[in-house]
Amino acid sequence: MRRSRFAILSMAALAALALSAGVFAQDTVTITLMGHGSSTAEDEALNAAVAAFEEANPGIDVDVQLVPDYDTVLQTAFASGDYPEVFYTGQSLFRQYVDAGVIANGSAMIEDPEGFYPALASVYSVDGELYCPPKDFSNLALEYNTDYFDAAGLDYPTADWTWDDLRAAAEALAASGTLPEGTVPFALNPDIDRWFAFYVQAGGTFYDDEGNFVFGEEDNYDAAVSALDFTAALTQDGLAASSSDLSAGWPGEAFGQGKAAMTMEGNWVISYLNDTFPDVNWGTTELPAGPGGEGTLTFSEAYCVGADNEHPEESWALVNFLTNEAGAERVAVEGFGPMPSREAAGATWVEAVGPVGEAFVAGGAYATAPVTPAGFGEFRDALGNGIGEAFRGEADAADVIDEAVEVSQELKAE
Amino acid sequence: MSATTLEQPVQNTSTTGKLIRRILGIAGILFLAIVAAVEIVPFVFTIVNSAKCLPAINAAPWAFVPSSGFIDCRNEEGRPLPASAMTSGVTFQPSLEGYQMVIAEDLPRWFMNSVIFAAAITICRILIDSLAGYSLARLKFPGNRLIFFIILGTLMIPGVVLIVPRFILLKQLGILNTYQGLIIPLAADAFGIFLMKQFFESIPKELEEAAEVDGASRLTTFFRIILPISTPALTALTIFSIQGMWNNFMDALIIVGTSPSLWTLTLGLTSLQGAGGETLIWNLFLAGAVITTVPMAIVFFAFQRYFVEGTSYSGLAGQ
Repeated sequence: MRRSRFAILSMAALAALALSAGVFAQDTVTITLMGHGSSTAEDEALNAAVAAFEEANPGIDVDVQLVPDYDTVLQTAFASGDYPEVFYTGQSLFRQYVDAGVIANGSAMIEDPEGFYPALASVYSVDGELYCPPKDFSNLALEYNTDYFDAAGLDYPTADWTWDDLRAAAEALAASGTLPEGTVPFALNPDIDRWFAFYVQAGGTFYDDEGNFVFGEEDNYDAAVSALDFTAALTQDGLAASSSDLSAGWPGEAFGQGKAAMTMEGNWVISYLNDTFPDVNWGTTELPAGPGGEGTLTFSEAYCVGADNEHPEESWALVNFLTNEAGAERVAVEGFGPMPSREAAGATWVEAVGPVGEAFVAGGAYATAPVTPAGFGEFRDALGNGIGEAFRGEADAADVIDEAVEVSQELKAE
Repeated sequence: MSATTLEQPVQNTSTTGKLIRRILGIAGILFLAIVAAVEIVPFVFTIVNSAKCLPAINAAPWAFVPSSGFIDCRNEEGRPLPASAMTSGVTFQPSLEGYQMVIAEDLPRWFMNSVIFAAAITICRILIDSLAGYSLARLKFPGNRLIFFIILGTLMIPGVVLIVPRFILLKQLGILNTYQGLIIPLAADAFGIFLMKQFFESIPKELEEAAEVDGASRLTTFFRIILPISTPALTALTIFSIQGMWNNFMDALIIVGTSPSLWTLTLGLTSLQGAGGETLIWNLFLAGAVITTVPMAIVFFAFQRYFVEGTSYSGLAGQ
């Protein structure tokens, strides 16, 4: 008796469910937005923006999924052939995903594509067509400890600095005798995602007009060697040290602990330094220019729309809502770590984070994304190890570049 | 004669031998102490730093002596206090900020999910693995050995290979992002079946024959006679299962990763790392790590004896 009543009840419940699902399916479309979690404030702001979108578009429901170990989850979904309508894509994985055919071409759908920083738009473009609108980005800038510069009686670094000025200031800091014991003028890691900044400042490029990876080849060879000579000399002469030599986890931490008077990190240091090292006085300026002019590195993510997608229009409506000018303003006023991807919103972001943000925004005009082709892990390892050896004086700059170029050419030939 | 010539050197070496043995003994203890320190010190620092404010963690991660009384990490204006206000030498002012933040991050829910996940799978495994192991050990049916070898063979397949097929299968069944999706695929495991089968084969058949003579059915014999004397194997199975599931990351990620209300502690902890490890909020993360570790530590200390017995019984130190 009891069992049969239960069965009837559950069947009724199932029928009600099926019915309600059927009713909803007629006028509501659900799309999934998958990404990784960021800071709590950023996650909340994204949810608020999505709620605003849903209110403006009553026919569209958005399921926001912020997952841990995001790349693994997304790639599993790709492999299963059933993946989210909208998802984050980092700059280093974009090409791979395009080649895999999972990213839709957005050139006909993206609102006002000219408003994005050209450097960002080019990262997410294939043959001049913008696939995914950039979400937000970070640039490297020079951070300096104002107390150390004051104590040494030196002027603060400025945006018109060159490599020579950097070197001269580092020497003056070291010679002044005012730095605490164990503190170096500059914290610099032998990390290719920092060192490439010197490479572009020396005039080096990553890709030619045909899209071939040309690190260290032909004209770029001298740029690479001079960038490595300059940075290795800083370390060799005791003017720079890596974070591990300074017993810190990363250069920003060494800088915050007062173990370095300068370092070069991205805008993620702003909230980090404010929260973790509230008693450190510091400022920022653009990275020094090298023989090839100004240069900095940019790190970004984009919203991509899945190629195999039953609701492309709704997906693009959401992506445009999040990345058009109003969307960029919404990111900007919150003043999170990453900057809005549109030039128009830069001023708002600086207002939110304070004057230290200016140098990061300014870099957007000439930044380069240090993206190596898919499957170039071996090249990154070879160059990264070589830079470390050159910093420690174990290898000659030209030999390191020769070897890295050789690895790159072998990988390209495959 | 030969006895005396032999005795002489033996006595000689016995005094130097004693010395060498003593030195070796001291060196051994020293070595063990160092190894123990290497294991224990990171754990101590995890606990200690989980109870500090952020500036204190960066300024003095090694400070391990708490002074009395908890402090707030921020002043009235909401600005973080400088590190100098909360550490000096090896002492630090403890704070519960990390724990408060991690609990606000939905940690109680992750904890409950981990408990449900580990407990449900362990119960299923005890039942299914022992029934399967008993069938393979005692019941004679066609294909018995073949089935056993197939089950054993699945142990050779690396787990990562199964991720995508399992994801697709669960998606087709419509149980992704559900408790049952998390529990059913892991409800039985080849290692457990193997463990139980080997154990049941070591039980004398006479016991069951005696029960049969008394008119007990197969199932009655199994539940009334066999299971109660199988505690060593069942404990081993239980411990391996709880430990494995509590620390399970990959299966949970693929099956419930997109549904935060079903996250287990391992998933929640990973989400606390944020996108870039560089701006990791240490006290928050370490507080989560402590809360994740403590239950396993309690289980370990409570069942220490069985752990040792279990490992020596199964001949494996963890799966």
